[in-house]
Amino acid sequence: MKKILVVDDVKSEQKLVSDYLKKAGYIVATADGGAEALEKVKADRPDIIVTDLVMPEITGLELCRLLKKEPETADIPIIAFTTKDRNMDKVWARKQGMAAYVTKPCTSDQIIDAVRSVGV
Amino acid sequence: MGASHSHDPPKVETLFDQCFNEGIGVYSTVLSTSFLPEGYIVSNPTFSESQNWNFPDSSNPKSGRSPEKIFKLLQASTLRQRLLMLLLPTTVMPLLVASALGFLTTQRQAQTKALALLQDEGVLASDIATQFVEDEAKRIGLVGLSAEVSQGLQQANVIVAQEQLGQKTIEALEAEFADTKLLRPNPSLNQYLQSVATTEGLSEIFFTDSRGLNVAFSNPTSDFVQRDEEWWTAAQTNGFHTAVEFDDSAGVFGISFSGALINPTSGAFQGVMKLVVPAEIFDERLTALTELSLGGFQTVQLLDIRDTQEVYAFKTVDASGVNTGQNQEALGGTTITQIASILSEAVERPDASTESVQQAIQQQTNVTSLEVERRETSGNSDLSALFLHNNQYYNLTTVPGLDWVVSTSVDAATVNRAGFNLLGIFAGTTAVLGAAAIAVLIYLAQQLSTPLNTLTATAEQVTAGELDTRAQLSGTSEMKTLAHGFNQLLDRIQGLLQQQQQAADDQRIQRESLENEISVLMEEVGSAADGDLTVRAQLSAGDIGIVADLFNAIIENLRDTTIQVKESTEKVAQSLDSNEAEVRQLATQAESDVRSLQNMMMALEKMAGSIQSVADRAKQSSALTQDNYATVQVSSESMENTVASILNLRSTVAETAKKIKRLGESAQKISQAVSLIDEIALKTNLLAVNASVEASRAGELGQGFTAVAEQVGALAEQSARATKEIAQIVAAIQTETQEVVIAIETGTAQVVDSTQYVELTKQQLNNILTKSEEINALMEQISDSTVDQIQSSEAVNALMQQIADASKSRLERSMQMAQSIQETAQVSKNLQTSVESFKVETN
Repeated sequence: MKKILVVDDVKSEQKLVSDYLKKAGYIVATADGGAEALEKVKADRPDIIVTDLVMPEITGLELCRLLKKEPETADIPIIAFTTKDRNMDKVWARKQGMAAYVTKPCTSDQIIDAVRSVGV
Repeated sequence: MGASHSHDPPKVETLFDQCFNEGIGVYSTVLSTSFLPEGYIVSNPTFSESQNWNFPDSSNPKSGRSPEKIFKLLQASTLRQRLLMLLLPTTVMPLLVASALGFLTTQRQAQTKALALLQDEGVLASDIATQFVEDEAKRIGLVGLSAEVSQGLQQANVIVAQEQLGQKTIEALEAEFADTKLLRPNPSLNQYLQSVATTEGLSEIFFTDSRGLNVAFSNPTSDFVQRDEEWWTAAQTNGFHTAVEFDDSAGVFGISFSGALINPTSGAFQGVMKLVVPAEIFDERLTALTELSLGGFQTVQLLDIRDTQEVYAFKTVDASGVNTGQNQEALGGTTITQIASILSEAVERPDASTESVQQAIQQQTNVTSLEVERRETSGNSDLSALFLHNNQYYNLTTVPGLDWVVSTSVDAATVNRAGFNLLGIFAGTTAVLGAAAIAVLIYLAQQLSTPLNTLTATAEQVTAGELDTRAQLSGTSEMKTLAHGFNQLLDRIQGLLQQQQQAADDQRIQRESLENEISVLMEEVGSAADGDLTVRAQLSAGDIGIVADLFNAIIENLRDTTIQVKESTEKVAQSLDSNEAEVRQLATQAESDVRSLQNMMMALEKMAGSIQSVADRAKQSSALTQDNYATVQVSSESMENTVASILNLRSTVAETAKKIKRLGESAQKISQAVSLIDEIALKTNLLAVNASVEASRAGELGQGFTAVAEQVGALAEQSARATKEIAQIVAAIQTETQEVVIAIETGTAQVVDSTQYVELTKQQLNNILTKSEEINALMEQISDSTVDQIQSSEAVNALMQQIADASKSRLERSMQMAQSIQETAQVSKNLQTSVESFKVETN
């Protein structure tokens, strides 16, 4: 049973993705922002992180950078889950170390495929 | 007919001209240019003046010169012009041709009709005459068969028989019946004849018996006996006779008819009845002609052919009426009377063909357009001839059973003019139709071209930028479709333009929003340029929102680096403080090093002095040595010269010795040879003498020997001469020997020279020796100085060793130290300066 941390400042989105993943049989933890996510990662290391990009204070991308900086958390695959759908957004996200990129809105299959594609 | 052709073509041309002068004058240019050979220049002055051709290159003087250019220009003309140019000729030309053909045909028909009328009138006149004559013949028959006449005739026969009048001469009879002029006056019979004359409108009527004696008359006749009259004999023989005459008894001009009175039962000749019809009666009949359509200038003449030689006209009918009179002139003169005679004569012969008649006429006259035809009507036949003579058309028709010929004539001009009045109608109709066609064509061209022109104008407006303009839907359905299509095209263009405008606006809005985003981004992270690394761009959902994160990442990285640098510089400053003591120690050591170095410098100066003197002395010795070298070189050369001289001397002497030796040997050989020769000569001479003696003894036989002896003697003498020559050679040898002596003397002189050279050498070598001694002395001094030098050097060496050892380690260390400290300090300073400009913590 893989543990997935879903980070989104919008509760509804957070819930939607959580439900998808739970249905697919994953253990899901949630965080409302980057700071909370960092704490949760430290407390209970997840196997995969699914994060929104645009969030107040610490954004998804900053979260990614912060996690990649630390050796203990650098190898956690991070999946971007965002409304930003420009090619440059995707390119930058990959450059920042994101393992996959899912554009909102998405189907259950899309997010689950992305989770599976990161190979954890 | 030929004359009519000369009138028509000019009129046609005039019509053409009228058509082409109505604004299509260019047509002639088209025709002419298209048929002209290439390069032919057509100048049409009205071309540019009459038409406003709006061609783009009309200003170019070169264009419009060659036929091709003109053709191109025509092709570029407006639709209306082209339509007119094409349609007008195709419409007007056939109209003109049809009109001309119609006119010509109609005119020809009118002429034919006029001539046919002429013939018809001739026939009609002939028929009238025939009918008239037949009527009168019947009248004679009717009257002759009446009871009164029969009784009168029977009575006359009785009287003639009773009175035996048959034997009497005409003169006697005339005299006998001069009073009454009648055989037996019979008032009732005369009354009857008078009543017949009155009712029938006859001038007179009378009859004779079979002997030509008057039986009864309506009016008294001038003669009693009629059988000498021509008409009487003609009636007796032919049964019937007509004549045109002025009846003296009747006192009127009339036509006389005389017919034989035949007994109906026996068929016997009973007498002759003559009646004279006044010309008026015949006139009334002929007036019917004038009532018919007798052409205005037509004339009908009745010709009486009494004789082939005498033909005269007795009636002339024309539009003005009928003229009756004896000896009227036949119209057309003798030619007509001639032809009338031929016809009159030929009609009597049924076998005479029309061709032979025609031939006969043509042979005797010079008429033209001759047509002869024979007509058969109810047993009668008549001949008619139609011909042109002196610009008059004549038609001569014979009157059946009579020597009359009807001549109808009309002026050729009148015939030719027939149908000319139609020309006006045709021309008028053609003009009206042509005008109508042109008007219709112009209207059609207008109809066709106007919508196009309107559309073109609209297109030009649109081209000028008035895109709201729309084409009017007018003209033909195609034009409407075209206009509709054009409008739709415009709609689409406008739509596209609006879309383009919309797209441009969208793009502008997008660009503005992008600019705004960039402005916000610049606002947010702009301070980073001044070193404030605490700034942070807001990651927005906008287009370039992600760039904000890029900046954030860069700034974060920069901030981390700056913090590291700040920490590092602080550490460097600390370590510099701790190294201060060490640096001071190094300075002290450097001071002592300086002192040691000063001592070393003094020692080195001293050493330098010693070395200087050594150097000077060495310089001197060097100079001396150089002199020595030169001297030795010179002496060496002298010695070489000496050796060479001696060698020369030696070889000279050796050669001389050889020569003397060879000379000695030669002399010896010569002396041997001379003695031998002398001996031989002596003996020979002796032999010769002996031989001569012996020869003389032998006498004559010895004479040969004597000769031999003499020869031998001569030989002996020759030998003696040879010996003398040899003596001379010996003398030469002696001279040579003298030369040898001189050579030896020379050798001796050379030897003396050599001796002198050797002496010189010796002296020079002595010099060398002396100088060598001086060198020796100098060298001793040098060696003394060198001892000092060695000592100084050793001291210096020791000192140097000390300094070297001491400073090597310290100097190197201090140098490195100082350098690194200096560098570190500088780097630290720079770093601090740079890093201080960055702000990494929010206050």
